[in-house]
Amino acid sequence: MIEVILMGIFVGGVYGIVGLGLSLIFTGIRYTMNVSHGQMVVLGCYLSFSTVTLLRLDPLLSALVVLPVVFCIGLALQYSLINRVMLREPAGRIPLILGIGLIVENFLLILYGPDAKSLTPYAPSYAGRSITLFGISLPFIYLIDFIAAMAAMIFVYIFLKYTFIGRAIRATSEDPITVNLFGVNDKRMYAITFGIGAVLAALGGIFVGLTYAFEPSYGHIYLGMAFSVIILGGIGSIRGALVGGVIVGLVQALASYYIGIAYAFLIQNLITLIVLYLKPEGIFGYEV
Amino acid sequence: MNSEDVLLEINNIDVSYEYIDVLRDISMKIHERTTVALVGPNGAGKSTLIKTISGLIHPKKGTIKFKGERIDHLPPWRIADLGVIQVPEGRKLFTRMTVKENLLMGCYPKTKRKNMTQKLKEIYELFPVLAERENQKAGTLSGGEQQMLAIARSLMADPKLLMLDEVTLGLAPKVREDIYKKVDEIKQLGITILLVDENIKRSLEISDYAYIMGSGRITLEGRSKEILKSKELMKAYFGV
Repeated sequence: MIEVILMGIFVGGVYGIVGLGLSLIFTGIRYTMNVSHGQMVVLGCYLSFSTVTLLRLDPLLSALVVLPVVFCIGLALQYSLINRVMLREPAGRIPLILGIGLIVENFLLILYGPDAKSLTPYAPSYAGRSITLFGISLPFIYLIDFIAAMAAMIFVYIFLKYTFIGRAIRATSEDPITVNLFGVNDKRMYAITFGIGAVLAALGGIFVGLTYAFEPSYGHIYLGMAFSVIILGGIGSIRGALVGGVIVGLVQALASYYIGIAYAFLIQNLITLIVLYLKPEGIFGYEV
Repeated sequence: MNSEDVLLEINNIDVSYEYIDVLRDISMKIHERTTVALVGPNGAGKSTLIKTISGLIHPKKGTIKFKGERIDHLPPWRIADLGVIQVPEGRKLFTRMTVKENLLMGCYPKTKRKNMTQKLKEIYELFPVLAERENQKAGTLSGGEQQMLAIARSLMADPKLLMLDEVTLGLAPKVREDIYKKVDEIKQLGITILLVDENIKRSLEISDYAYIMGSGRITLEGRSKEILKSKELMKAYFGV
């Protein structure tokens, strides 16, 4: 039982970074709900897979290739497509982003086929092993998941709080018109923000790929989780993403173990609906 | 009026905003190191003119030149880069960010980051109350303090032309006087100022030159001192 709880908490960190990416895009880009976020996670899985198999890199090191690539893809998508629609017909964003997600998913399906893959076999030194902490035995990868997630969140926190671009992103999220009066090109900020959000999704994807298996069609699963994470934890808060992620991870782990995976998603979504009804801003969020 | 070059030159612009013709045939010249007042009733188009100069709106007709270069077709962040800085009506602070962070946003463009710490020090000397509240969220400040922060933020941007849009609106009389004093201190620094303010008499007292607007046009322009002195003018235009 305690193993299940710990595993849930640890993998919840990864769900937290995926949720953080979604939250960042939502608050930073005029409330754009990135409905292709799940596909970005899966894209991370597959890009890592190719980097690992083609370049013989360790999955964790593959991030050095995958993340810059995903950042550029995110930049390009926002700048060339989403910006245009957003600034002329804001309601057109969701269909557009949905379409982008579908294209990514089907692209992956064509390239890689429908069979499930995993990064675990490519990291035998840590992904296949267990470790024992205080008498509790756990797959090592879960601990790595959590440490990586914490590191990523600290990095995002420092970036947003102490760099000029980070401050510009925060200012743009609050008042995208006024920032222009101080030399900030808001359209460029949206592109950078989307890039960062996509990178966080892809990073989550790498760890998901190491912890579980993945298929091109799994996108909607991760979108649902990311959504639950930010509703529970609160939009616009890094702490909220972490706490939301841990809760989702816990619920998943406990429900899967005691009831069954299909019910796990049902329970997760029920809890999300209840929180939406009672306290929509989540634990740490601000009123949107 | 001690002036060298014309810093800002507006030539016969027409401006539409959401399908309504708001400004008609506006022409204006602002000389360096002067303070120009833009005066008129609500709805006359003063804020629209400021927004147009900043590039948030583009004129249908006519040109706007800054230091001789056309800026009327540039995006607003480029215009801000050039040194045309607004203190927006309603302050438009980043309320969720701290006082210090708002000030740092003032010098976002890389060219303005050079003497950041020095500038911050000077701003804190000019606005001691902001130094005290450095790490407080901007939204928690009082009305007057927020206005000071808005002005200070714009000063951090090293403005060549500073446009103050209704910086005393909604403030208590004593606080308004503090703001006018600050504007005077800023004047002394040699910054060119375009001032929009509801208090006609005070605006004319602070400024060197004035443009009076009504219904989207300029109805009168002249040296502020002369307008103030002319009792008939004051009565006819302002009922004062």
